Amino acid sequence: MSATDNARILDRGYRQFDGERLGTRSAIRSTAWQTTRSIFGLGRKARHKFFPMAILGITYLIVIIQLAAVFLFGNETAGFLTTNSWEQVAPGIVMILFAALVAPDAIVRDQKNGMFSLYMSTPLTKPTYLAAKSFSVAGSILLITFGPALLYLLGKTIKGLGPNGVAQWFETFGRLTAACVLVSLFLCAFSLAFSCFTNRRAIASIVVLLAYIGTSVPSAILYEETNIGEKILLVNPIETAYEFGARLCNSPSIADNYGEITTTFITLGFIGWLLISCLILLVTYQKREAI
Amino acid sequence: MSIALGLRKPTQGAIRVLTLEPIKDGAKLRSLVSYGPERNILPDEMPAVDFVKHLAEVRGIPRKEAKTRASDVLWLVGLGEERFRPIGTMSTGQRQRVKLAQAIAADPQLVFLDEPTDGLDPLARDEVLTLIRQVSEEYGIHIMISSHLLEEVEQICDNIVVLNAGKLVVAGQLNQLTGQSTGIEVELVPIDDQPTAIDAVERSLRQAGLTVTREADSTVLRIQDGTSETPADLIRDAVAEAGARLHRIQHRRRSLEDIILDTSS
Repeated sequence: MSATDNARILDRGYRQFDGERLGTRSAIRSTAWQTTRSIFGLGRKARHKFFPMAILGITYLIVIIQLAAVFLFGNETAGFLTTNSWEQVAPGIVMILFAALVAPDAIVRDQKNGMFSLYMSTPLTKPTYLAAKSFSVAGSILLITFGPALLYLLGKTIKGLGPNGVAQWFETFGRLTAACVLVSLFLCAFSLAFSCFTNRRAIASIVVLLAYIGTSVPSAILYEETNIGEKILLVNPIETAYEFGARLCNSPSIADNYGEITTTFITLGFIGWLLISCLILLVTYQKREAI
Repeated sequence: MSIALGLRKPTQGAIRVLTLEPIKDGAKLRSLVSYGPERNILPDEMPAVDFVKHLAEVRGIPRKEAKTRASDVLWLVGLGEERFRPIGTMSTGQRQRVKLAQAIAADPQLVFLDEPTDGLDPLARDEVLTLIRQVSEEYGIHIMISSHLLEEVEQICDNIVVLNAGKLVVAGQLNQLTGQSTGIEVELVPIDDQPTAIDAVERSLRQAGLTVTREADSTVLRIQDGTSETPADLIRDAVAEAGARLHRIQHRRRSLEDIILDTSS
């Protein structure tokens, strides 16, 4: 074997690219991955990792403690093992906080640091750019909606409290997956829609939370103080989405008053809010100057 | 530029870039071209190599290839040693190089650069302009620059399009536009012993039939073309006869500024 057999070219220098260019799908995938890295602070300073990692850590810590309690103290504590995280108040609020945190990070920074203009000079268009961002944000939210719910389901199954039989297990799993994906998509669309009006991240997060409070508080007051009926609760987008998810999983309603609304109206309310959120986002971006 | 990239519809007229219609074939066109923005704002915390790699991937280069190309192109623009530094810690000149690197990393056929020397000192400006010229000549990448600095346009451009308030003022090859000689310029050295020497040269040239213009007390004579086939010989003889000393003699060419002013007026 001569010395040149092991030789490698280490520095090829700048050269022309003769290979096949990957299309828009590759551009969406790359943008979504880069956004996810940015959301969790990967490749960024430690302070950017703190909040997303802390929320993820707390969410999974609660689930692990609950599972440990069930496995250590028996079925008396099995009530911890709900079907969806959002059936419990605290994880439901954590999801909103997480969505209010990650959505501005995904799109507001691009406005501020000029990346939006650069993205628009690539094969990406405004709709495909928003699709990439949505994949990333919804995927990140899925970590705190689907992850804990899956652990609960596995815990129930191992303890013999879960669905009976393979067919029923897969049906439950399918419903759970669909519910988590749709609730995550909704939280993604809602938080993106209300964070696209400013190029300040902190303000965008506050706007998202205010949008939630601004819809949930009036609907609750109107329900309590007037005779409009329980359908006024559909004005609250987040709880409507959580209730929709619960119905999809055949779980108990998130609150007694929601139980009085038919599934058809809950579904219409969910679709309506999803469409409104998408519309706000698309119209805002269509008007936005790319370069 | 946004019309050429297919991001805005033209209010009137039509445009084709690389034989494609930007509005109709926007995504396809944008996979063949690149853009370097005017603004000096880039993702501060991102290392230069990650930034260039990411945009190369978005422009359709496979991940592994994008990684090696990002390093190679940063070496090309003189940031090889600095490629892992966050962009926020770089100087304005280095950021301009990063912008150029991201624009050429995906081996585009055409690059749009918006004010590529904005905010640079003269030395850094020269370096960036040389780099742009090098990229164009050595790698066959066509580069379109938008600039209001006429000197830099004259320095590196082959073709120009001058727009004023959205209207076309002049367009064509720079050589042809500036290359049309408008006469000869003669600069003489004032001599204390012979204070009338320059006047004598001027008089002699006029007598020879040349059209000469000279500002008061100036040592520069401007001679219009077209009056003689051998003006240089006549000038040489006139200078010799008057005992004057010649500092320079050259064809007068129009600057880009002259062209724009002439066309506008």
